[in-house]
Amino acid sequence: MDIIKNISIIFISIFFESLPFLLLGSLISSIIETYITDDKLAKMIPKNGILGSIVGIFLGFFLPACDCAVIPISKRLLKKKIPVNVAISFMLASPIINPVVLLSTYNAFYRTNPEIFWLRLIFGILIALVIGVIMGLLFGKKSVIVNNITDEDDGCCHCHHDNHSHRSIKNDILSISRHTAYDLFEVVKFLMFGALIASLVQVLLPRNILMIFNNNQVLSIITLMLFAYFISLCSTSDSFVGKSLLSTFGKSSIVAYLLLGPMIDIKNTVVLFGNYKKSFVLTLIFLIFLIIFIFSLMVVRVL
Amino acid sequence: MKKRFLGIICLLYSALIVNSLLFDSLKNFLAPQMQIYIKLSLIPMTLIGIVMVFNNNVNYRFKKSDLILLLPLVMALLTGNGRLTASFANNRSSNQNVENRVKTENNKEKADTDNNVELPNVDSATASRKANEIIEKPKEYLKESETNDNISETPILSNPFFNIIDSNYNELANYITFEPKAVKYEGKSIRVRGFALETISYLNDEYSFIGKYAISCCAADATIVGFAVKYGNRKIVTDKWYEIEGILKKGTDKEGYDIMYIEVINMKEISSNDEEQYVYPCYYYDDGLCESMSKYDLEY
Repeated sequence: MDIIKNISIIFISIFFESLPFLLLGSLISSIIETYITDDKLAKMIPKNGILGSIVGIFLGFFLPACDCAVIPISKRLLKKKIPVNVAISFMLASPIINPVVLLSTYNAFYRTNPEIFWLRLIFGILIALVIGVIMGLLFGKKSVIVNNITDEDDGCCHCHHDNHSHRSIKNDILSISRHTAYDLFEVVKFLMFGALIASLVQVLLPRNILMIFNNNQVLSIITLMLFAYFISLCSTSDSFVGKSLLSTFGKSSIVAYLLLGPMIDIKNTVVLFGNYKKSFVLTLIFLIFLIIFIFSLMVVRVL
Repeated sequence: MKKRFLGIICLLYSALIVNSLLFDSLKNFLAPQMQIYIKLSLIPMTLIGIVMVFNNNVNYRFKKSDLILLLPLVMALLTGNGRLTASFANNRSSNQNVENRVKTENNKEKADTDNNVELPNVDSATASRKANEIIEKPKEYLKESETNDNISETPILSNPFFNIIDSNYNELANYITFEPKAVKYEGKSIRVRGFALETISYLNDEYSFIGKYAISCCAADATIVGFAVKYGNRKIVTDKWYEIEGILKKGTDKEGYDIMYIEVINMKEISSNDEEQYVYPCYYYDDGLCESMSKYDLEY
C-alpha cells in the first residue's frame, strides 16, 4: 500500500506541475493558430537552415516554455509550415534558456561550480542549433506530424483566419478555447502514460543503483543521461537533484544530466510519439543522446 | 455526452484543483513557488470546460483511449493523506552536496577536489568529554523552571546551539553532517524534528536517521535531508515523527568520510500533522533572505 500511495503522490505531483504549462503552451498554440497567418510566420523565418535555427532559439528565449509546454507550441508551428529546423531548435532550447530554469541552475550551482551553469546554457544553445539543423536536413520537406484532431473534426468553419466575414471577438474566444482544449488533451493523454512510467521508476528503482558505474567517466555519463531520461523531472527542479549527485559523479556526467532532461525524457517521449511520426521521434531521440554524449566527453577533456 | 467529454474532463480537473486548495493538500505535491501556477490555471481551465460543455459548435469524437484522462482522478484517491512514507527515503538521494569531504583515517587526505582543506584547531578530546558530560548529567543543563524527572518525555535543553527549523533545515542538515569544517561544532547541542528511520542506505547500520524530504519544485524531485543519529537504547519506529535533542559528535559514513552525528539525550514522539512534510531551500522562506541562517557564521 505504501508503494501505491507513493506512486500516486509522485504521479499527481508531476500532473499538477505539468498541467499549467501544458495549458499555457496549448493557449499560445491556439492563439498562433487563430491570429497568425502562415504567410506572416513564414516571413519571420530566414530560409537559411542555420539562421533559421538561431531564430528558433531566440524564439525560445522570448517565448519561454518548459519541456511540457513546448510540445503543443512546436507542433502548431510545424502545422503552420514553419521549417522543421526552427521548430526543433525552439523545442530543445526553450526549456533550458527560459529565465526560471536559468535562475534555478544559477541558485544550485553558481556559488560553487559556475562552470556548470555556463556549460548548461552554452551547450544547450549549441546542441539545439546542431540538432535543429540536422533534423531540418533529414526531414525538411516531409510531414512529421500525426494529426489527431483536425479542424474538420471540430466542425469549425471559421478557424481559417482569412475568413474575415466570420470573425468576431466572441468567435475568436470560442475558437481559442476549442483549440486550446484539443491541443491540451492531445498532449495530456500521452503525458498520463509518461508520468505513470516516471512515477514507477522513481518509486521502484533504488537510487543507489546509479552508483554502480560512477567510477568510469563514460559509463557515469550514460548512467546519468538515462537517469535524467527516466525520472522526468521538470527543468526548473532538476538542478537541485543534480547538485546532490555532484559529489558522487563527475562534472561531465552532471552536465549531461542537466542537458538531457529538459530536451527529452520518458514523459515527453510518450507525448511525442502520440503527436509526431515514429521515424521523426526516434531520430530526434537518437540525436539528442548522441550529441549530448559527445559534448559531455568534451567536458571531460576540458575540465 | 461523448462530444462534451473534454469539457467534462476540464471541469473535473478544476474540481480536483479546488479540492486540493480547500483541504490544503496542494503542499503535499508542489513547492510554494510552484503552487501559484496551478492556482492561476484554475480559471482558464474552468472557462474552457464551460465552453466545451455548453457550446454547440463542439463536435469532438470520443475515443476509448480518452478514458486515460480520468487517471489523475483515480490516482488522487490513492494518495491517502498525501504524505510520502519514510520507507521511500531509501530510494532517494541524500541532499549531500559537499565536494571536499575528508576521510577519518587521514585528516589531511582530500576526498575529491584540488581544494586544500585546513581543519579547524579543535581539541576533539575536550569536545567529546564535554559532550559526554551533557549526556551523563543532563539535569545540569535543564532550564530552572523545567526541572522534570520524566526527562525522557520532554525537551530539556534550555537553549540548543543549533535549533533546526524548516527555514534552515536544508542547509544546516547538509552543512553539519557533511562539511569538514563543521567538526568545530563537536560538542554543541542541537534540537531537530523529523521522521525517523532505523537505518538509511548511505550510513552504517550503527546510525539511525532523522530528517525530512526536501523539494524545490514538486514531490517528484524529493531528496532526503537530515541527520545521522545514535539513539542509544531508545526504541524508535520507522516513519514515526520525533523531536530529539542531543550533542554533535564526529563519526564516519559507509565510505569512511567524516560526518557529524547526533548523540541523543532526549526525544519525544510528535504528531506528523503538526509538521510540514517538506523543507525547501532557505530562500523560499523569509522573503528570500535566509534570515534563520544568518546567525550561524558557517565556514566553508
